[in-house]
Amino acid sequence: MAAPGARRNGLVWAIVGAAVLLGGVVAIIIASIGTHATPDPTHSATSPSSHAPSPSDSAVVDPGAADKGWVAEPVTTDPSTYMTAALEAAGTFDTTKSSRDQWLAYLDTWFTPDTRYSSKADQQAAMQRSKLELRQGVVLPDSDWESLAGEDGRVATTITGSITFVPVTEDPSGDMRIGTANVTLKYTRSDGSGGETSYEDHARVSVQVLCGPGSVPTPDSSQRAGDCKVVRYFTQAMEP
Amino acid sequence: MGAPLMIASTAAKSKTGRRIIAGAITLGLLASFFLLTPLIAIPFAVAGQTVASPADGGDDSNVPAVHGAWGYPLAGGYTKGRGFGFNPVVGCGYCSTYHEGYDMAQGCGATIFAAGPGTVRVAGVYQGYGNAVMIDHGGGLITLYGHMQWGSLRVRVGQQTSAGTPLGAEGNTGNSFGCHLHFEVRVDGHAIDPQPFMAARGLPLK
Repeated sequence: MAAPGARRNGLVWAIVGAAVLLGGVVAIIIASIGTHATPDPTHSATSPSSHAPSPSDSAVVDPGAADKGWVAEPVTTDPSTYMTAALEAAGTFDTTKSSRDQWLAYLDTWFTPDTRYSSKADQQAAMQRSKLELRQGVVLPDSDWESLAGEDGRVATTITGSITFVPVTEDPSGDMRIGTANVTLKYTRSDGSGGETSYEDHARVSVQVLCGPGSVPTPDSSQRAGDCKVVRYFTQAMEP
Repeated sequence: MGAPLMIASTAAKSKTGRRIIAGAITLGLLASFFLLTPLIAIPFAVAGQTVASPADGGDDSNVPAVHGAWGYPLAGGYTKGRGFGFNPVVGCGYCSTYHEGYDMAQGCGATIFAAGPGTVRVAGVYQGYGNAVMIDHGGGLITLYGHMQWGSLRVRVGQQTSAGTPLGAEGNTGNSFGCHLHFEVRVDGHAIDPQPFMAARGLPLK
């Protein structure tokens, strides 16, 4: 019969050994799961072969954006063309092809610092505020996205009518413009019985763009300083 | 996956090894209980929150208040959501600012009742209203009940209703975020404010 001390030592070693053994088993299981992980659908959905090059590819920042259900950012110095795309982009997505975070990260690449601020730090801070405002007060809220995603939904937004231009205050460069327009959001989602149903919603929205030397192009793209970029989306329509 | 089995069979040949295996099994069971408890407890907790109870009007035994030929579309208390008219969705610039109905919520699964006598014209998916029921009360008057749960409808097109006829279950289908009933009243094809409409029938809404 073992002494109490020896028995206690044995028990301690048993527990330590058990913990090591369990840790090893868990590590092997995790490694096994990791090697069989499903590829990110958002990456597989945009295989190079799925996108046929077209003449218009050179006029957009990311030709693959459309494959993800997004509006491609145009490379242009024309405010109207750019505003149209920007207003449609903030209401166009496909919940089956990307997450809300991925879509918003993509929209972030449309932004440029607000050159009305003199310091770089202030410009960056203002741009961060604008990106936060986009998430919290402009685009479809997360709860709506989740509801739509639950029914494999997508939204395609188009401008109806013309863009109304609103002056930008304190912009001596004159390169900034605010554009306001009516948009139609076409929702398409499952109908609960294997089919799809579509319907339209309407809103009036505004965007502020910078088309001038101060704009910062998207890195590694065909954009150049001077091409139009987004400064800010507004939570409500701006009128003259 | 063969490595753990080999280790276990080798360890089982000694007394200390058997202790290690026994300890591992005990720790494993404890960890399993720890991890699995939320999987069991959370669904029960959620069910307790979302399944309507007779006390809050989700059960058919708790029928809605009726005044004359008309009644409330929900039985018992409810939470008011967006009202009729200019009513922007907070935090959404890309959402319609005009709301053509009156949102009311009791909880996912609560029974939705017909507000009055009429004939069911729509029972199923309908535009952004998701799984909806539309009742024609005659004289150009229509009531609409939107966002009900898929598979919950208890009426069919052409069926006659009266105040209190169960229509389906409160849900989150269509252009909706969060379970609620979108109650809409139309006269000659145009949406009108449900609050004065119901108040005029002795059924004031919040």
